Amino acid sequence: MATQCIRGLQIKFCWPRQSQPTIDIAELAIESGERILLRGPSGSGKSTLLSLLAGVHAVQSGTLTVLDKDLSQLSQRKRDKFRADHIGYIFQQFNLLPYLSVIQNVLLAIDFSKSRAQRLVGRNISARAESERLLTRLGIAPELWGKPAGNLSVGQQQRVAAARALIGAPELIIADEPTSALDTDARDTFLNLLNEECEQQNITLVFVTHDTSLSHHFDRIVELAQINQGNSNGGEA
Amino acid sequence: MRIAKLAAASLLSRKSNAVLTLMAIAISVMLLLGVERVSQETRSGFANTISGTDLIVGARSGSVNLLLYSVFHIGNPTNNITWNTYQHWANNSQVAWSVPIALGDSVRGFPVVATEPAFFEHFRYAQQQPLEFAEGQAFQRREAVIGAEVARQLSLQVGSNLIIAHGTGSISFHEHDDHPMQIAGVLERTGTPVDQAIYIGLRDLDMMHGGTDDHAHDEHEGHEHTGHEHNEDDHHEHEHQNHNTHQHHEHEGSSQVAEPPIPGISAFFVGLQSKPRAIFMQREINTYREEPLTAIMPGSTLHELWRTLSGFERALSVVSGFVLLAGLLGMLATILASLRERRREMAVLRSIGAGPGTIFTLLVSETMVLTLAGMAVGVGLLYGFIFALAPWIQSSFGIVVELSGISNAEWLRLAVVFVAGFLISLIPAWRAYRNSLSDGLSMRV
Repeated sequence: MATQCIRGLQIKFCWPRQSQPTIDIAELAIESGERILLRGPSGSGKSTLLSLLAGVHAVQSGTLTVLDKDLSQLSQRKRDKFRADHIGYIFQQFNLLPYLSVIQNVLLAIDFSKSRAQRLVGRNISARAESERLLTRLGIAPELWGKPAGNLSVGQQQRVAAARALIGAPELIIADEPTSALDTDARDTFLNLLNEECEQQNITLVFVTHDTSLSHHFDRIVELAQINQGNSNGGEA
Repeated sequence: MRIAKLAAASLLSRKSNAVLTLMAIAISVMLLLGVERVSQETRSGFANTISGTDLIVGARSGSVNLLLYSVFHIGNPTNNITWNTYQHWANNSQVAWSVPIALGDSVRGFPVVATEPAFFEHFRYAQQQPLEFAEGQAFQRREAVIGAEVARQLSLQVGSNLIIAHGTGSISFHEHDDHPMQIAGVLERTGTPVDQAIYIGLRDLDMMHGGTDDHAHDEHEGHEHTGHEHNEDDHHEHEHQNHNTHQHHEHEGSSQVAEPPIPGISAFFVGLQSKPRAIFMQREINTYREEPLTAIMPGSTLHELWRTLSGFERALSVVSGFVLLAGLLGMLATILASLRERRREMAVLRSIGAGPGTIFTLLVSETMVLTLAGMAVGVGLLYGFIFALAPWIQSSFGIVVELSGISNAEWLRLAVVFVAGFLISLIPAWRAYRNSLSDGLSMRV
C-alpha cells in the first residue's frame, strides 16, 4: 500500500461559467491510514474538493494522485470504476435508496465493484455475512435489516451508510459532514464506530466538517481556507 | 441485470404512478392490437361467408347492397324479382344450378330466408365447404331449418315449433301465428351469417303472406330442376285474412302456365357450367330487358365491400396509434417528473461508483420495464376481452373472433410499441445523464 494516500500538486478546478477557480491548492498530502479532519466554512470549496478526490470531476491543471493513481490521467469511466473499487463515500444525509432494504443498500456497494467483492472472497467471507457483521458492529439491530431503508431514523441511516462505505475494505473513506444531522450523542457514537473500523482495516479517512468540537477524534486537521487560494464563495456551497 | 433489478425496485417504490402509466400503455396496446385483430377476423369472416356461388342476382340496386342483404342479411332488398324472370334465368343453358331466396320475415330478430331445399346442397362457404346438418334434415312443407346460433340462443331443437314474425325487427307487432312451423333440422356452426338464419320453404312464406294453397301443388312438379319438392299435399285450405303484405301479391305477367310457389323472390344464387363465363353472364343479366336486374360476382363484391370498410379500419388504426402516443407521452411526463425528486438517488448511485452511463441505462431500463409490462398487460387485456366479448360479437355481427395466437401483423405492432417506448426512454435517460454529469455528488434538491 502506498504510504501517501492522496497527493495533490498545484490542483485547480473551475466550474463552468465562472471566472475564478473554486479550487486552487498548491499542495495537499494525506498519508495512508491517516484520519484527517478537513475543516472549512461553507462556501470554501469543500464539496468541490471532495468530488475531485472521489474522481467525479477531474482537475483542470496540476496532478491529483489518489492511491498512486493520477486521476487526471483517467477517463470518466475509469474514475467511476476507481471510486467504486477504492473509495467509500458518506453524504451528509439521504445516503440510502429508500426503496431498497437496509441490507440491500449495504450490498449495493459490492454490486457495483468486483474488486470489493474479490477482497471479501480473499478473506473468505460472504458479502452477506460481512454486511451483517458491519451492521451489527454499527449497532443496527437484525430486525431492521430487511426493512426499507426509508423507515430508519436519520442516525440509523447514517450508520447504514457507513457500513456501505466500509464493506469490502476500500482504501479511502470520504465523509462529507455525515454527522451534521445527528445529535451530540449519536454523533460521538457514530464517529467512534467509524474510527474503530477504519483503524482495524487500515482505511484512510477524510472527514469534512465545519464543527471544531470534533477535532479530538482525528489525527490531524486540515484547514481548507489556509491551503485553498481559490475563490472561496464560488461554486459549491 | 442488477440495473434492471434496481430499475424494477425503483419503479415499485413509485407504485401508483407506475401502475397508472402501465395501464395507459396497456390500454393503448390493447386498442392497437384489438383493431388489428377485429379487422383481420372481419376480413377473413367476410371472405369465408360465401364460396362456390358464381353470381348473385337481385333487383336493380348497388352491388354491395345486393351482397349485404342476400348473404349477410343486412338491409333490405330494393325490389323483388318476379318468378317468371327467375325461371327465365334458371333455365338458361349456362346455368348449372340456381337457388332463389325471399327475405323479409324474422324470428325474434333472426332473419328468415325462404328458399328451396336445394340451398343446402349448393350453398358453400369458406373453402368450398358445404352446409352440414348437426341434427335432422332439410325442411319440407311447414318445416324450418335453423342455424347453429339460432338454435343456441333460442334453445330450439328438431321438433320445436316456431312462429315467424312479419318484418325484420326483433320486436314484431305481427306474428304469423296461424302458420306455425316445425323445426326439421339444425345446421352445424359455420361462423358465417348462416348461423344466424332460419330457412323455410318459399311456399310457406307465400302462404304466410296470404298466398293461396289450393292449386299450387300440382304444378310444383314442374320445377323439379330447381330441387323443389313440395309434393305432399296434405295441406288444408289456409286462408289469411287480408294482411297488407309484400308486393309479391301482384301477379304480374303470369303468362306462365305453372303456378309459382311464390310470386316474387328477393334474389337468387347461380352456379354456372363454366366459371370463366361468369363475367359474360353477369353482363347479360345486367342488360336483361324484361326486368331491371343486378348480377354480382360475390368474390369481387366482397373485395369492394372490404375496400369500403378498410378506410374505416385505417381510421381506427390511426386513432389507436394516437392513443398509444398519448400513453407514451404520459409515461414520459411521469418519468421526467420523477427525475426531479430523484436527484439524491442519482447522487447516491454516483457515489458508489455508478457512472453517468449506468444512470442512463438505469433510466432506459425503467422505461422499458414499464413499456414491456404495459405490452404484456395489454395483450392480456386483449385476450380477456376477446374471451368475454367473442359470443356477443358473433351474435351481433356474425364475426367469429377466435382466441388464436398473436399474428405476424400483431407482432409487428408490438414491435412498433417496443421501439417507440425505447425512443421515448432515451429522453429521460439523456436528461438524467446530463444531470448526473453536472450534479456529480452534490444533492441539489
